[in-house]
Amino acid sequence: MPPAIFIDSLVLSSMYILMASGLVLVFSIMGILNFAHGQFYMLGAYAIFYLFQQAGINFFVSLVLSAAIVGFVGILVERYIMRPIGQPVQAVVITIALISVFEGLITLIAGPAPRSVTSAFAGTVIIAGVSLSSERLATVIIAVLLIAALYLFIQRTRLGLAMRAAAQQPVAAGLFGIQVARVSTLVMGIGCGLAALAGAIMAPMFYVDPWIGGQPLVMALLAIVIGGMGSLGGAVVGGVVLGMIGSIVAYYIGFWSQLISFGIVIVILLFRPQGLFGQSEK
Amino acid sequence: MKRQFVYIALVVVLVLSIIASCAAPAAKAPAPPKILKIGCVMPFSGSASLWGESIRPVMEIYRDLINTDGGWQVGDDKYIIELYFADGPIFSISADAAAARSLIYDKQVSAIVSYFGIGYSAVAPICNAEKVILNTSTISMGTYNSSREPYSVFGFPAVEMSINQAMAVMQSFPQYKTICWTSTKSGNVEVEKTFSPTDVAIEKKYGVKSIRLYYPEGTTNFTPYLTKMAELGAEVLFSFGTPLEIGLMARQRYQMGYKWPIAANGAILDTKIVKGLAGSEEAMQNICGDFCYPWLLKKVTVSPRYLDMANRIREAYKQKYEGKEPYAGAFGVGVVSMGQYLEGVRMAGSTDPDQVMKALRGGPVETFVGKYTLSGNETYGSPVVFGFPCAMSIIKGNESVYLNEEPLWDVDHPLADVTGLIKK
Amino acid sequence: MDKAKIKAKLPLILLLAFIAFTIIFPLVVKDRFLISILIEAGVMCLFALGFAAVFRSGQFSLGQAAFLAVGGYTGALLASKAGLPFWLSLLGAGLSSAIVAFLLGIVILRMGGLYFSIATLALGEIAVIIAKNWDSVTSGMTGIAVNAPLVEIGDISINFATTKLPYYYIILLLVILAALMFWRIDRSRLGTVVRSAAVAPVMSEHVGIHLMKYRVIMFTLAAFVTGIAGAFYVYYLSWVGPPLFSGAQSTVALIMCVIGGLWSAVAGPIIGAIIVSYFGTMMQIHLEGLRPLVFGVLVIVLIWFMPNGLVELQYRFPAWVKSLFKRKGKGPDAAA
Repeated sequence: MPPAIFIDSLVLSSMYILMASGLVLVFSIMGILNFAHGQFYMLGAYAIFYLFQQAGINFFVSLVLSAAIVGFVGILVERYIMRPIGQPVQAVVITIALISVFEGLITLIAGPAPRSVTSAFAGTVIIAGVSLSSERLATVIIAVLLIAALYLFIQRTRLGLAMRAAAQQPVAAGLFGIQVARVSTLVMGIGCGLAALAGAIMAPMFYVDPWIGGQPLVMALLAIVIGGMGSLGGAVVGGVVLGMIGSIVAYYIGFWSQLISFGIVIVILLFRPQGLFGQSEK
Repeated sequence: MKRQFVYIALVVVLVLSIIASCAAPAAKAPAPPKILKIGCVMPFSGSASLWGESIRPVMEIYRDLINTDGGWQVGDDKYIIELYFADGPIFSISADAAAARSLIYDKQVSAIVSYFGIGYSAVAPICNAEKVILNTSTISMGTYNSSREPYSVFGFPAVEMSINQAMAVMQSFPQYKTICWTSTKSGNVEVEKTFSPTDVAIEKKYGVKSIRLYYPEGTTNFTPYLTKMAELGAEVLFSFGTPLEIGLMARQRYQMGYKWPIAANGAILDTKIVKGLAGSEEAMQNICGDFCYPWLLKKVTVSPRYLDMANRIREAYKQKYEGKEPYAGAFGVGVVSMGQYLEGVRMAGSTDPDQVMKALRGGPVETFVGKYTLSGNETYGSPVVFGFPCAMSIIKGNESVYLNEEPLWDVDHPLADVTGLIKK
Repeated sequence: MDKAKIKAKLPLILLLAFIAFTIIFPLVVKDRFLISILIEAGVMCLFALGFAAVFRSGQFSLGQAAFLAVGGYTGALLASKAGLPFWLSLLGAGLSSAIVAFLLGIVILRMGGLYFSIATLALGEIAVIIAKNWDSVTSGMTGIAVNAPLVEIGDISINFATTKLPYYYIILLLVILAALMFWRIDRSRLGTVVRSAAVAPVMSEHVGIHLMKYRVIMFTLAAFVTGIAGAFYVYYLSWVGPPLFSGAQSTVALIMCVIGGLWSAVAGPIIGAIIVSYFGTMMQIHLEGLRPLVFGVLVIVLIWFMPNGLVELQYRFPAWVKSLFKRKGKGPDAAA
């Protein structure tokens, strides 16, 4: 397998993992699947466009700002648009309607023409005699660092512990002095921020227009099903599997890769619906 | 439970009445005489809106110039042209069909021109049922049936001209010998066998080797395919893809270190937009596209009156839009498509659809991009235009400039059938 | 005939009047564009009814478009390759859809809840991928053209390429039949059992209700109706192809049912379908680029104010009317 394909599969996996993790976090707060999750990806891409490309702010600073801004938007959406609706079915429909709203809003503000984010890491790099795209390499490294940071945060810090407690047993957690409402807000912000980061780091390799949120959403859904709906670890596994299919399988077989991605999801739902790493529901 | 129905019924009746009262005024009296209404279904929303937005202004200027001259000559009368546009976002067939219906039922147009979407099969029956002439591209004509759709004209041979476009590019790069044809394609690998005779003929005539590689619809990550292309020895790419796909391919090939020229079947959009898609000026170098500006054509002769009008359109556009050049695609599809219909009306001396179709079939038609016969009887049951300029541009620096021409003269030409769609 | 009896029959009378209205409507209002919109709305009514049926059995099917596709392609193939007449093609399409649903259902309905929904979502996407790639059967992106006349009675062949009016009546008939069917089921014992299985699955099982059986029944029935809708739509467009069955289609059914009202088996989906379909198309024509934004905002606002759908109006309406009268009159008997 050519090294370019290997790196490519890592790039795709990174995107899927970030999206899927965000979706899992948001799911744990909202209790429903947020179909507008892909829109935060799109907003993150636009954020990096305006901050890095247009305003010339340092790339890494722009990344952090993008995540923060979009995370904040996510919090606002959850509090003021989603919370008033109690019933899950209606809430899901609202998230679907939000897709149109965001796409329409951005079209109005930024226009339908696709925009470009110039790569912060231009050119190619020679490693062990092989020429690789610097941009892709850098993207993978950044993504790995982000995922590692997320893991450490959740597993090793007190705040992370509070998050896990609040997600699993909100009432008990409250009794222990954890401010569940605040923690929920934080989780929502992080979840949307992750989607924004995915959008931001992918932007230099693709393009930015109001409709780029659709595909990442579908892939995130597939990833969490494959990995296991409730768990972040599952999101990672799912993301890796999908990334490999999208790249390696595409290279060898070509266009059946799409079918295979969906087919695997069906197979998993049939034989192991809790996903490869989820807990058995019953 | 039955109460439900009472109130629901009342609500629906109320709603329908409101609808009816709003809609009623739209049912018009017959149009006042000496006005020729032409409709146009193009994308004005969604990602393909760039095409629609680029083509519409040029068509409007053409209409304005005709009307300023007193109107279009039809027999003894001069007709004022009215242009109506409706949004047909490229990937929603039912929206395209709804757009066609609104133009035909509401606006009562006599023709729909410059349609290059993929919904021919849904739009054509509507047009043909009402004897509205549909002038469209061959890009989605898979279900065309000449006896069932006698009012369809294929004024733009998007598929047929691709070989000539590609060879126009190859001739400017004599150092490159291998071209890779790429586009979205559905499952059937049998297709490879169908193309071998075409590929053999291309090699014989032009000395160019062909590779074919396809990707699934909706692909945005081309890395696996680009890697494969490199392994197979591609030196130039020819793509039937959307500007998006071409831009992404350009960007990603550049990031991987390849600088292959990429030739497109359609016209390249404003280079600012292309730069946005490709990522940088360096990445968008050597992207080639359709470039049939009448005043630039070298191997194809354009009649003086059309050349004249083309220059007038260009000047008027530059005046109105601060020195910008009109979009080349507007001449390849928009204005030419409208012009072909108008020529048919002029040649027939009437706006009667049957007369117009009779005039268009067989007789030489003068257009913005040359004079040729709308025929293709043997292969399509007519009428399909050929004799297209196949002029190509190339991006050098920040501009698209003229590269070369390899005119398409005859759809019965052995190399014209690229996709096996022509049923012989 | 005393007043009480008339009052009791009133709903039925109004319903019949309403149906008469829809029958006369296109003969009076000659706007063909409007009629074409209503025909498409009719197809959406069937689609929404199917979705609602599955929903009432407790499951959320986000891939109903797959059955539109199965029905659509089957109908197209039966009409063009096998030369079957209209009604037989529709029937065949419905049956093939039902069979596919049955086979899939007995496997995936087991999962229940969220997993089932995602499975249907995946199935919807897979249907489109298959449609695009299975060239030998579906002709890929080119699709299949259907130009068979709808009805041939002896020498008279009504070729519907020339006039769309018969389509209107046929879809009206289909919608009425489907509505009747689902309404009767809902009121019957079957309906009660299905609803209880949906609302309280564990308890229902304890009482001996075989959950799977009822879920599969509703799923299959829904697919039957959806398949017929798909085949009809294909006849109407004279064409079938992958772009007709996007993933977004399935979610539209959900939006229609929610706006109309989820707790009603028949009235909600129908109202929701007509309103979403009509306003959606009108917005497309008049607003072009702004449509997604306006549409999304309207849906959100509607759900905020009427989470139970427009059907709610029937309960609020009389109270509101009575409140008007109370201001004018002097007591509760003032409502004339």
